Amino acid sequence: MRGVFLAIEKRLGLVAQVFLGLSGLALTAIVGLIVASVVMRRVVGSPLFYTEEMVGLLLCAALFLALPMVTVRAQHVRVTFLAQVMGSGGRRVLVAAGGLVTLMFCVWYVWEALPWLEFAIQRGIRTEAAGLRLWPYMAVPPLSVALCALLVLVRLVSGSEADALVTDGNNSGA
Amino acid sequence: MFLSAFSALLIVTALTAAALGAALGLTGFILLQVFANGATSIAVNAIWNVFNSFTLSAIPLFILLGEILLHSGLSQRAYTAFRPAFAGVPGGLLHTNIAVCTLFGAISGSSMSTAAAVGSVAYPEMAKRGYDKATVVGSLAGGGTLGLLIPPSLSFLIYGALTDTSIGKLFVAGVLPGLMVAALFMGYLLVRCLQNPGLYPKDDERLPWAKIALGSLRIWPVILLILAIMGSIVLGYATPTESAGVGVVFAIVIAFVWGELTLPKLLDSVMRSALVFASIGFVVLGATVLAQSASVLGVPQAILESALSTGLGKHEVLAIVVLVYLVLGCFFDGLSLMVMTLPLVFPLMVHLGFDPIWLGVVITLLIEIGQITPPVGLNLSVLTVMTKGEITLGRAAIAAMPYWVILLVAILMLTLFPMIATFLPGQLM
Repeated sequence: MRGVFLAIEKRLGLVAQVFLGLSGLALTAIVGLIVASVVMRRVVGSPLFYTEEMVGLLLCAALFLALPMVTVRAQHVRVTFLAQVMGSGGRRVLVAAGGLVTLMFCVWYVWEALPWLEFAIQRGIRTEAAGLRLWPYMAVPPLSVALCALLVLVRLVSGSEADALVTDGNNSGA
Repeated sequence: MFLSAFSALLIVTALTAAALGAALGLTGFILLQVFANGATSIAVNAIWNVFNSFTLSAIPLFILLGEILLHSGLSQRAYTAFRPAFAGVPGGLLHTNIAVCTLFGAISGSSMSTAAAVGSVAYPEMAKRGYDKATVVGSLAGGGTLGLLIPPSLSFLIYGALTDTSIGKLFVAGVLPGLMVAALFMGYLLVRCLQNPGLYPKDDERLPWAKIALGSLRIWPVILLILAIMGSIVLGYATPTESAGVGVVFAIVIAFVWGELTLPKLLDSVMRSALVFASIGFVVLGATVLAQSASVLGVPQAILESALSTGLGKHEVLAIVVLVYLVLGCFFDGLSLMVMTLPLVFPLMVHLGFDPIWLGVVITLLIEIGQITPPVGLNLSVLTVMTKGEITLGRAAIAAMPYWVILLVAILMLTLFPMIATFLPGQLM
């Protein structure tokens, strides 16, 4: 049974990898847009009026698209000192509880975000400067968080989450 | 009632080793559901508004800039360049560690990356030369904290974006305190090595100053890049986001031409930056939900009123805030701690009359202390792993204690002389 869940986790991991690639593209696009904007403003004297708007949308996309891979690699910032001092059994219980907390948050977020997205689609909301349709960008957060929820669930059942926490520390880029 | 629920929920969810962002977010959702008539939907909009931000986009860009330069082999070059400069000083390479960490602080914006990058080069060489290993680890752990204080700094970027404080002014404000802390670290090492010459080997390799200066030129492109980034922000030529974006392009050029960057390494840098940004961003996301619940329920106002009603002076309140940060710093990583506490601490302290720029510097120093406080001190953990267990977490923590005290002294000095932080922004911007 564990093998089945590990196989599902692997497939979901591939999707997360694609998402991460898109996140990298979004980051690259941000750099490109900002450089183009600076050149247009300082050199050509004709600023790009939509830069700030686009960069904001791409930033949001970059963040959410990378989240599933952060989940796959267990790179979330966590408070792990209690788990570290516990025995193997206690740690597994704690990891299961932690997984449930993450899962509950993700599901709650998606639940709240769907009507919000539906509203944007129905009203055909567009960005102010460039007039782009907003819903494709607004769809990224619930989609990515839903994938995170799935990953957490599968990793909990397959035991990957507990395995990762044995060697994992509290981490961030700080 | 609300504060009890707030604390209990946060402690229980965070201690489960859940993703911290999820723990904060779930706490926020529950509080909104129970105490704000189910107004949970406002959190989704708040998250969208926070991340749909041009200002915040400087964060992944500065992370990317640091990653690119780290991949270019800069740590080895910087170390080689600075090594002869301190050959005649008691402590030798221990001072080099602080100097290189200061330089790295101006590149990476991250405390842990700074400790890891410098430590990976410095520790093996210094251990081989016969330096006291614990002292080496202490200097690297302490020196690493400079990464958050010396601009460009992730801490200032997040603080500025979340509190609507000028990021440019924060960057400039961090320069003098950063250099002051670096000087204090070096001063401590000098005194310690004079007291106990057994901590370092005798180094007779002395070079004339002209040669030392010439050696330092090995890293001129990076120094030029740092000056260009800071200069463009200070002179108002570009916003921090624009500086970061253009800086990334120049970093790529420098790293390809002068360093050891390759296309696969560049791609790896982009992906790693996305992951680091997402792991920090998820905490900000959860904290945004929590901050929404606190804001809707008037918690900052309530805390302010109760602080004022106690009759405590502003410096007594500051002492309590420092104490809270020191305690929480034992359990939370620095940036997470800042993101979690800012919605409550910032309005309180600013209302009491503290300068927002000064406060940003002090909070950054406080979270730096957390980076070297066990059991969660990330700099200590990274260095313990780097020494392959030769120095345990406990020994590393003891070795880092003097730096912990120095950072606290720096906060005291900033409280007594706020101009250390506010002078440069006032003059330059």
